[in-house]
Amino acid sequence: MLGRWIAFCLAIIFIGGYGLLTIRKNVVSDKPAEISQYQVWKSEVVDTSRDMAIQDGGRVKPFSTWAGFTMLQLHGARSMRISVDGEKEKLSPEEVMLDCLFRPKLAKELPIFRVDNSEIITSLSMDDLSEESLKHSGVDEAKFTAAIQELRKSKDRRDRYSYNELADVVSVLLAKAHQLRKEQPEKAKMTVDNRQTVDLGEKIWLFMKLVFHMDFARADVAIKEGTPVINKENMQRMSYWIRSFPILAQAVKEMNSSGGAMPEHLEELFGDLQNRMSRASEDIGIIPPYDEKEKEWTPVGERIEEVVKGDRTHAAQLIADIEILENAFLALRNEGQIAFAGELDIWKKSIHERIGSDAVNIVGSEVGYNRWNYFYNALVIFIFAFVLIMFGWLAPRTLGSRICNWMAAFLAIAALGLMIAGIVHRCIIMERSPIGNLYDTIIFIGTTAVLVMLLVELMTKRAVALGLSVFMGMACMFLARRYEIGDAKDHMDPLVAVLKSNFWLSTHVVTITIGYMGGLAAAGLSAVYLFARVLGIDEGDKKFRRAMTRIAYGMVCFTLFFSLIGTVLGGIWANDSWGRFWGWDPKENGALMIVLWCLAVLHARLAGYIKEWGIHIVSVFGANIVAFSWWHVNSLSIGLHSYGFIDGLGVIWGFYGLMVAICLMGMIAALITSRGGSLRP
Amino acid sequence: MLGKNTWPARLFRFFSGYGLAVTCMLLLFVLTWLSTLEQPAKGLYEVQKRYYDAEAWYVIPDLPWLYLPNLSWLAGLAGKQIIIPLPGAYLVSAVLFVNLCLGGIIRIRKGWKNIGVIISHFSMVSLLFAGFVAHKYSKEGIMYVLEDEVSDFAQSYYDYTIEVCEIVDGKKTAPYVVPAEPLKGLDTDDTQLVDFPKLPFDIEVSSWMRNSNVVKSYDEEDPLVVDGLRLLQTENAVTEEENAAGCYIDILPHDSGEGKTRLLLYGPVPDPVTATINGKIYAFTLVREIWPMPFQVLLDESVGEYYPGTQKPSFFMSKITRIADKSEKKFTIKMNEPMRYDGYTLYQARWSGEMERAQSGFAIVKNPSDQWPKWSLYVSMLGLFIHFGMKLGGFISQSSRANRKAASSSAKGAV
Repeated sequence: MLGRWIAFCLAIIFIGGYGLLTIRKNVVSDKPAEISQYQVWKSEVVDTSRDMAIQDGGRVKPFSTWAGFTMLQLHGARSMRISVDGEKEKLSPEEVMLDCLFRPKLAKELPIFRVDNSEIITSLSMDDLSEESLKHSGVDEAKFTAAIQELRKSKDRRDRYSYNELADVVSVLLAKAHQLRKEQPEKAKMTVDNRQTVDLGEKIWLFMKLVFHMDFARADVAIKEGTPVINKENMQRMSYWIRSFPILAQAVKEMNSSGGAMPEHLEELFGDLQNRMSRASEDIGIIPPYDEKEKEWTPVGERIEEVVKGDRTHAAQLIADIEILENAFLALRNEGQIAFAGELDIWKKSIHERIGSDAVNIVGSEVGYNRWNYFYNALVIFIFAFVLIMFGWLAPRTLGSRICNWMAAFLAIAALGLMIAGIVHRCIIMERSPIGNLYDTIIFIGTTAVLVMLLVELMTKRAVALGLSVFMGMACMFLARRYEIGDAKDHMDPLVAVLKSNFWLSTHVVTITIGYMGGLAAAGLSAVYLFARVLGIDEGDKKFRRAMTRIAYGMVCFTLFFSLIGTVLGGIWANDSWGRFWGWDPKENGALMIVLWCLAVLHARLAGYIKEWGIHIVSVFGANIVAFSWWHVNSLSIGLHSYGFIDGLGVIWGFYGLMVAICLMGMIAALITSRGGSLRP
Repeated sequence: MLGKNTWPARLFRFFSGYGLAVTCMLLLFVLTWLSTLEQPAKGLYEVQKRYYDAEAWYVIPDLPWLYLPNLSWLAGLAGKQIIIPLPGAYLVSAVLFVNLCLGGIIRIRKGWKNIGVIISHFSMVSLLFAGFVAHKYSKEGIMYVLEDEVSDFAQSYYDYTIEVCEIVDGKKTAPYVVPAEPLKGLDTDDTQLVDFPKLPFDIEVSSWMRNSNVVKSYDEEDPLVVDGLRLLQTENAVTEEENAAGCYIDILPHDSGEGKTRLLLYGPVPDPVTATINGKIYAFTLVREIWPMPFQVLLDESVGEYYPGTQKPSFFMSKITRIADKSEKKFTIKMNEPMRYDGYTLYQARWSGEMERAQSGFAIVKNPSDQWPKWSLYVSMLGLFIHFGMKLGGFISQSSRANRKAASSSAKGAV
């Protein structure tokens, strides 16, 4: 029992410690920012916005998906906690993005920017800037210095900032980020501080694009004194000026030809309109194409520019669209949120009519996918199942243990069902096979690991494979969540041309990923064996040891089978796509390393070079090779499979260290037992 | 039959043994790992040459962590590289091939139990052999064609040649070519004499630079300054294709009456450099090796699409007419759908829509073992399926027997 308690404590320390570390790393501020004038969006508005179609990342997607990933980029979390008159509020991504687009003044008050190292802000100095940057930044030095002092006093090292809090330092920060980018275009080669500065600069830039984008529809064009007013309310709309542009242009032309100077009020008006147009030219696709042949949702600013330049083919449609959005703004300003929701619904119906029922159905389906949150729910279920397994583990061969195991098995099956449903749902939305990027591999490996380990449990009935299935499912779902938050990119975006082959994606990519899973499962089984022997949990049961060795050996064979087939299939695909079977690409090399390792293990076992201890030790080491192939090579920033992530290498090194430590523990134990020693005092 | 302890028998046992097999696999594993880690700094081309080329009998890994730290107590050793010589991957693969043939096919115990293993070994032998054939005999290059234009040649991605031809009536005559092979191995300090028996001169290539720049220089004393220009060696690019080679050639007339003329040749400049020898004008060009095709490609239509609002390519396609032996045939080449003809395979590798007319870049490969890996895969799948299938079957039946036994004994205990 002592061994079991030690194992129990070790598991708690390891998982709890890692969990606490993650929480510590991710909890930014315990006190939500107070925004007294904030008005929470009514559910009618949020519900209407959720399935509104937009185009982003090369595909049409719901507003909720876009909002979620934009929030991850800016905020490092999908939701935001604030305090309104002392009341805590949790804002959904849709709400924050609605603020950015429709209530920019409030959005600027929201603590939207996550900064992990406040020094990148507080250490900003005017001296950082080149003369050229300084000239363009237009910084007020006194204001800048005061702002830095204030931030030094009021902010923690890891904290969240609102745009308004940064307003006086933004120019310097952006100029510095620009300068750093110019000096070193590759982020991977930057120092951590410089990279964080550039990242923050990008976040601020993105935020500014969002809050200024809808200026064209705000219906607040300033009508200066001297302008002949016909209908002021109408004239405050940009649509009015787009409609009257030919007359206006003619008048200006006549004025120019007669040699008269442009009146100041007109100059200001044109300047204002020009600003609104250029702010709407950023690549946010909210208006579907007017021509059936077009695929791109051209930014509104570019559409307006077309009309201004004399191409009035789609002028009437554009004006109609802008008017709907202007009505929405006016409704929000004058009548409140319910009226705004109504206008937003008119806008949504208008775009949905144009994109066709198929696209609308996919958008709706994706909203369902977001709502179901399959993988997060699976993670929660796995955590419960894991707790049950741990309790069952403490009292083996008792009724309580059997009940715990049965309940855990039931929960694992339920979570597996959710994961399979999630993967199938993704395939339907993406119209491709399940794996096309790193995120896909995590959830696929998690799902297949749970499935295979449950099947092994069915054959062995020792509760070991059941425990491992729950652990692997939990670990993969946790990893998927961490990766999604860290990467902050929509993982359902379409694939590049060369990967667009459902045949090869379903064969090569799926088999190689199953191979990864096999390698990790084999390592997991062997780690259980090593701990069971070292801690005496197996109670000297030779049958258990033999069975575990056979299962681990079987998993190595399984890994070899899928890795070998997957690797060769990849070569054949490469031959068909790029004209070469093998290109020594890091990802290919990683797969080859798994194959070679498995082959070496199996042949060493056949030759009797490694026996029971040996097979488990090398099988645990195999996890490092899988980690190298699956994750590490992506960070090398070379090759055709490079996903180019930079952060998170520490976790990989931690994993390597852990596996090596388990191997060393096994080696020492093997050495002691081979000399006739005992592992227990 | 040979006696058990005779030398041939011992050799056979050694070359067919598990020990050698495991050693080869582990060596290949380590070589693959090290070469992967070296790639970001050195680039694929360089790493391939150092680790995998037939000429690379051994390799000394060169990674930042294989250098001793600059610590004072290390004295003269500080900053020195730790030398770990390892056999080259080609050599190890050749030994593994022999081991597979002798041990995995000849020596292995024959029988139904091992049929899957033998089949798998056979497939691995053929896969290694396919790799050898590809390494030895395959050739690859790239053909760029503009829409509505015809091309009948491909160019090497990396290798340079020097073309020499006479200019008659302002037009180039058939060129004499200095092949890539002798130029590839040149270093900056080397010289290479090239004889042209049919021309009135020979040339001597010197100061070969794998990656270089051309700079202005007014140093008249410097022998490397030609017409106010000089080559400046630069660090090799990680991507070999980006390297811009340059060199000097000295024209050595057969008629000793004329002195030698020095020319500067620079790869990225396609225009030839001319010199007059014996009253005739000759053009000299440093150009990526040209590979004539036995057919012509007319690019009828070239289509490239990007996902809306992004720079992410979604679709490349070329409609071509293949003109060969006075016959014409239309083809559509897409990503993942190449055209195969007469031992050559054309793949849609690149696309550019930036010029007035769209341009397609076709990777062209001639590989006698092109489809062998596919057949090897089918065979290995069959072999592994049989072997592991039998193992799994055995495991399941044994487990269910054990489970039944456990159930019945617990039932007896209950009674």
